[in-house]
Amino acid sequence: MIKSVGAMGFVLAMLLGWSAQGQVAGTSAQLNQAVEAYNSNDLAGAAKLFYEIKMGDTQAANRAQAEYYLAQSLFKMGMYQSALAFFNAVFVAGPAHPYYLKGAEGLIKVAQALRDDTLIPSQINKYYNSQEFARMDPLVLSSINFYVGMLLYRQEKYGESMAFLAAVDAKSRVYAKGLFLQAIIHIRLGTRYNMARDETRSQAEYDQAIKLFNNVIGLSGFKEDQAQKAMATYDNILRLWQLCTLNLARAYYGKGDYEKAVMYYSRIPKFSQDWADALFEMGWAFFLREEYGKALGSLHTLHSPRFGSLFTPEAWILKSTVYFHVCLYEEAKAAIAYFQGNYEKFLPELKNLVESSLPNEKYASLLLKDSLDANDPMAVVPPTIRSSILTSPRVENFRHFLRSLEAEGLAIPQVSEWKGSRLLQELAGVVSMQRNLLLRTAGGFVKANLINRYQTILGFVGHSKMVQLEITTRERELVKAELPIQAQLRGRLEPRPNVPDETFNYWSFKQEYWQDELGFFEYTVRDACPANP
Amino acid sequence: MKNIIFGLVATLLMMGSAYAQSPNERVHVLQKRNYSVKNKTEVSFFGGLSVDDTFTQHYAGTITVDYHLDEAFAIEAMWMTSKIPFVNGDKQGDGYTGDGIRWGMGYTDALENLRSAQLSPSNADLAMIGNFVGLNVQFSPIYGKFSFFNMGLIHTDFYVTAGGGLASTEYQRPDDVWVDTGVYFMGDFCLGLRIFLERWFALRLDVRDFVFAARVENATQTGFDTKIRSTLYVMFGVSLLFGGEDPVQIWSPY
Repeated sequence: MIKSVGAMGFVLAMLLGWSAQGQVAGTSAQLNQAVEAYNSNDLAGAAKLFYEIKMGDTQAANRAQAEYYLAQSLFKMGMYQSALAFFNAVFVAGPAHPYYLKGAEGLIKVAQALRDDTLIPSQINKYYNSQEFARMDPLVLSSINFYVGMLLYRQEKYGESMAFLAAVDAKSRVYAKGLFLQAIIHIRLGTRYNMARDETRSQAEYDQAIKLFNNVIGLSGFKEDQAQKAMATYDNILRLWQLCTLNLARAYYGKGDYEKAVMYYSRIPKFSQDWADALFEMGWAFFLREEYGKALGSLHTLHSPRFGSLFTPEAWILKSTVYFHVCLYEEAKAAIAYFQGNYEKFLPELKNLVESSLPNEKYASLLLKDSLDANDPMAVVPPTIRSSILTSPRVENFRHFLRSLEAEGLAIPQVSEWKGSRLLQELAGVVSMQRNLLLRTAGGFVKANLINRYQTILGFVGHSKMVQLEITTRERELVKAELPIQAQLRGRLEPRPNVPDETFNYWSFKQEYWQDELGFFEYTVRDACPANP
Repeated sequence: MKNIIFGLVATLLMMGSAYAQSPNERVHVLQKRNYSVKNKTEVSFFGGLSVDDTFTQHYAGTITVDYHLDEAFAIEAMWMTSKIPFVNGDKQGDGYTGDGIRWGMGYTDALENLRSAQLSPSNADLAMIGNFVGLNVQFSPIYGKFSFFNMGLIHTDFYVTAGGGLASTEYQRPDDVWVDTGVYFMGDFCLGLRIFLERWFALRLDVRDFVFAARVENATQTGFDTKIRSTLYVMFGVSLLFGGEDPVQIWSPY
């Protein structure tokens, strides 16, 4: 009997892909039965037996083994949240638990399955043990390091985050993501030093970021076959390449090299998810290059019906600023009026929401429900604000997590082997508790975003008032100088722009938006600034 | 050219900006052509038919090779055939119509009707184009797009082509003997439309007129008549485009 259980244990070990070293199969008859069920893919039966061993076996080794395989059985059944509870129990037990490292590995598998980049990484980080983890498969450890690095990045602990991200193995699927995140941290630091007027360190950070972004793009080898290989090797690298392009533009923008910034912004594909950001930021880059017609052209696309519901308060402030710089004060005022009528008006509602005493979970409906009832407190959130929150890639992760939990909550009572068992009760409790936790987390995310939108609009209200004040001053000066207030009387309209070469077409814009023309607009404006304003 | 007719019909046009344009500014579109042809070689295969002759009917296969010097000008070599080349018609007597050779040439019922009334048109009116090899210059001043019921945009260019080359013509005498009139100069003029479906693939519609001086035996076979003939073809074709400017790789590193 002992021999046969040992053989079964070996089969199990092979199936699970772990080395046989140090693993001794359980010796009790019940454990033998559980292992047998597991090997014959009777996962529900195995889970029930492992649970009973875990709860009642007198030998600690058996309980530990059963705990881990209970988690594995549940994971294989697609009950990720339930599996998470037991992998977590194994992991938090620490190195004394014989399956400690496997527990950490299991947590990562669950995190990937649930697309959880917050709760599980946070748990791993809490119990991270570098000495023990050094014994782990380098690729699994790389995933752990990436998740922890990302968590620390979100907590703005950049130094620690970089240490974890730099430890990601080059063969890992998350290697490119790790490089990318390091580059983003350099950008953040560059911005931080820039604001602190530390030019040298700021430039150094941007340079480092540029190098890392180029490294990620360089994984393609700039050849199709190598790029295909990279796509098969690294997670989501196609998306990363585009993000690297956008962030290269940002890095050059941060360095003050607006020409290169515009070059990279222009490479963002039209209609891609980053295009609106690129258009807006390119508008700023053109403005800083004093190419006002092109700046207005970028904003013209951004303000086209294509992006009708996009949350772009700053774009209107930029537009008014551009007009102000070319002394078209009426146009500047019109842009401010648009901002006031379409964004500033949201402030009272947003203020009520962010200052209300609603518990976090009440906010979650905005993110997790496709349509909101009229009595839902989130129903008052303006559609523009709501859609701006829903475009975050984290939203889909939350939704996926919730869907997974709900499916699991429904599946647990359906398992016939578990009817009336303690296991069923415990798992139902785990799922319910986790669902509540998720609702609180998602609600917190929504609330943080509402606060962010509120503060953003509020900040631009201040900007708009400054522009208005400046306009009033300039108009007074015009009156004093006995110059006409009407811009039409102060200068001539610039001629149409030159067509760069014959591979370009010129169309005049007649208030019709043709989809293919978006992104190709350019303004010419009246030169309305007096010689001595 | 934005084609206004379709443009008005199409609801793709997203009318009305939230922000009215002021008299102090103009908005322009400087758009990189989606379908640039500069330095591209275009190989086209056409099927066509003549549409304006009373007595003759042609079906023709045509191959053209265009080299686009720039977006507006191209040089075009063409071969149009309605008959297997290098087979002389005048050796096919004794009632043999040569259908297998003259696969795309024939006479209309109008000729039969006329002959049944003991009348006969001039042989010059019966001359049919067997093969034509020519060299043309193409000019495409108009590049446009159509919006078709909000289903998408169709990019086109319109062109005119003019040139000439060598043609062989044949006609069938009332005694059913085919007479090869030899090879001589023929001019051609065309109005065409190219519809781009891909950067490498387009559809073409040509309306092409061939003008030639048909020199044939007179009705009594005692001398020769010369008559300026013109034959109008409508041709549909597909084009494959090679070379030229690579499409801009927007962000992709390969």
